[in-house]
Amino acid sequence: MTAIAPGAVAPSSPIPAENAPTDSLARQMSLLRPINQLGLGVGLVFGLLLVLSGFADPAVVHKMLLLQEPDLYLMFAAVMATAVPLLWLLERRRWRTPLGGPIEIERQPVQRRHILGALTFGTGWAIAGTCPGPALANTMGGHILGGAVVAGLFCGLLLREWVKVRTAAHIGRSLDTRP
Amino acid sequence: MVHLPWYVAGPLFGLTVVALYALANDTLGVSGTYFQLTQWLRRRPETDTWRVWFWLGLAGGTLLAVTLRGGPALSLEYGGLTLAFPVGIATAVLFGAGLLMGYGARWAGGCTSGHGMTGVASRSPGSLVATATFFGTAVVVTLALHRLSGGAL
Repeated sequence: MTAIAPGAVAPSSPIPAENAPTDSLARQMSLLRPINQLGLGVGLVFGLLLVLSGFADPAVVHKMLLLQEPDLYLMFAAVMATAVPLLWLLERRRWRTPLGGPIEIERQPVQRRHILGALTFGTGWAIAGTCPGPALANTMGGHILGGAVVAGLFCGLLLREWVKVRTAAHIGRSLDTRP
Repeated sequence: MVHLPWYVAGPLFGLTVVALYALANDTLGVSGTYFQLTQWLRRRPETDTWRVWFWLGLAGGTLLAVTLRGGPALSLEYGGLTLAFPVGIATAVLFGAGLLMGYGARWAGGCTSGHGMTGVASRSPGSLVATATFFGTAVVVTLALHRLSGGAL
């Protein structure tokens, strides 16, 4: 604690009030925060795995969606064989996470949006042979047309958000939480 | 090109999901990181900043892996689409496909990773239904396009 002599100018707050949210956002983005380091690290590993496993290649995914190769499905089974028991164990042990408090596994009841959104998503996935992670990987690999998918993704996400906010304002409740 | 086999990649993907839950009580989902990037670019104070970093890590990790394999190599090729159509049309089709995916993912509340990996591994009923729906849809639409295009797509 620093005592401030009466009459002295307080060590001025460096941030004018109107800039405060932006500044706090900059502070939140700091890579000194462990949660951001974790995000960056897991993102890096996830990206490496996407490319090294071959699932970032639309041709590979296309063959699997044509049911000509089983690897994508086997890979999903292997993800589940690893993650299901470990998440179950963490929950059962009431694991305390170092950065986010006691573990709380998020479970959503089935809602209309899960079906309608997935129908829309699945159609795009079939046409492009790639989903959001692989689309970025494909673009980073120099496939210029992958960039068209990424651009479309950004626009689609924002469009849905815009529709959601607009509709919620109209009907007084959120469209995407309706059962 | 040699790939990591599914029985190596699968468990490692599974561990990324478990690590985020075990260390931070957070869910892994790629479409959410795209969205949070737009939130950050629009200077929204409620931005989930770790997801922005995840997106940046994803971009860096994929670029690193591509570089390890001798790339990146600029190309305008995109499988059957660029064989069947001129580049301009293929670009428009792919933008449209991205638009559908982005819209659908935000609507459903997740994509292949958020619902398909994290949600299913958590045995979340909504995620199980979403995953079954988008896998089923993707297979049906892919087979239909293949049939209708005489095998070109």
